[in-house]
Amino acid sequence: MSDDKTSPATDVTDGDSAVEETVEEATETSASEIDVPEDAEFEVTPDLQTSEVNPKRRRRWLPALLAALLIASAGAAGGVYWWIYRPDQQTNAAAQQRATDAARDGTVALLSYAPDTLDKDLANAKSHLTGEFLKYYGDFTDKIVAPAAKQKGVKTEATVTRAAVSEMQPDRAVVLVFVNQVTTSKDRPDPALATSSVMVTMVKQDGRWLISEFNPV
Amino acid sequence: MAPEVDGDETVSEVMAQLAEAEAAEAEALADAARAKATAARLRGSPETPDTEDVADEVADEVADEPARRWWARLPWSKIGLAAVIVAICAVLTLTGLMIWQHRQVTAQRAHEAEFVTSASEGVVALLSIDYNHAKADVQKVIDHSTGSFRDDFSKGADDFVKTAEQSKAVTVGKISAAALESENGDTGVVLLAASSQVTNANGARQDPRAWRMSVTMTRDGGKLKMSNVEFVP
Repeated sequence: MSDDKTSPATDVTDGDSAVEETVEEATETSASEIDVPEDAEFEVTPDLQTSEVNPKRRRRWLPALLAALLIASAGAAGGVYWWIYRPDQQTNAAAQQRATDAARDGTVALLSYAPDTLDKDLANAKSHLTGEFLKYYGDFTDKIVAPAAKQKGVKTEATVTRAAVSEMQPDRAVVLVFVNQVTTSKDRPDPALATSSVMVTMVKQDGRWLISEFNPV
Repeated sequence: MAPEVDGDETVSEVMAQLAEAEAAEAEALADAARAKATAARLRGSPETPDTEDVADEVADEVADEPARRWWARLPWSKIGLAAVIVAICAVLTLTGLMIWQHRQVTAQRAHEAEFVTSASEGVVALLSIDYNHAKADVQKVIDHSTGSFRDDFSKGADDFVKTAEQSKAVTVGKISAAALESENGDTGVVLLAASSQVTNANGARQDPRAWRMSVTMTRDGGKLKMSNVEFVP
């Protein structure tokens, strides 16, 4: 409207009346929609309080209800994630594979050593162990394995032919391993094969699977 | 307007309408002022610049009022509530998916356990033969078998029964450990550490013999049965 430089004076009158109409409308709107409900609630239509949802009360409880629902559902989701979903993920096929691989590597390290590389072999073995079993293995190798290996030239090499998870928990696994161990010594230079089945208990520490029990069956 | 109490009306909505009305009013005022100025200019009135200024002032006022900006007119409280509802739905959906996934995992665990249980039963049957009822024991092994292993074992079954009866021996099998190595729906491989102990006719017990076994299980008529039995050397 501002660009119509040729517009005649009659437009002005139209503009004025439009303004008046708008003002009236605005006044009407504010009067009917803000003032009336407050009166209506108690005087004009008292039955509204019981039969219809009170807009004021609805305004108050709806956000509170939604906030409570959001908190409750978020809490439920967190609980389901932490106690159900996460443990499932920590025991899935990929996690079982990692535990199995660690059990294989640990078993091979534990049962393979040669006189020449004894200290390195035993240190490597110990890096796969934890807890009581680590202590036991340390004592056992110091007192029996190391002297025997050095004096009698005992050399042994283990291979894991098959392995499978028997029990699986997020931070504990039991793995059945089939072990073949070939041993030679000065007294018996011909390789001797020993086969065994071992239940290897693994525990997860700082994200690493370590052997905590080693029980031949 | 009738004094209706609409349940859906909210104060924000009323306020927005009011703001719109006020904006329209101001715009109209500005337009009117401009029109007046134009009219005056056409008439050649010297007041023109003043009136134009008034029009501009009114227009500026309209533009500067923050409440008149377009986003101020959006019903933010409603948008907020809608966002919270969407968030609740999203979180509940996520929870539902996690629970559904857990049901799958639970079903898978049961499925895997069935392989180990069936394989253990089959191997115990295979390693347990009592000369007193050798035929029934051998039949039990056949019942636990399917496919090529069933065919092979059935062929030698008669000879096996005869040998067992003649030996007057009782063999008892035991599973020391079992674990599922791999599984693919209806077929899977179970590793077992088993032992068998033979008691001969005069009651003498031999030392138990240890066996490492790899048994392939295949579903046959709703049951998992041995389809291949390997002794791992």
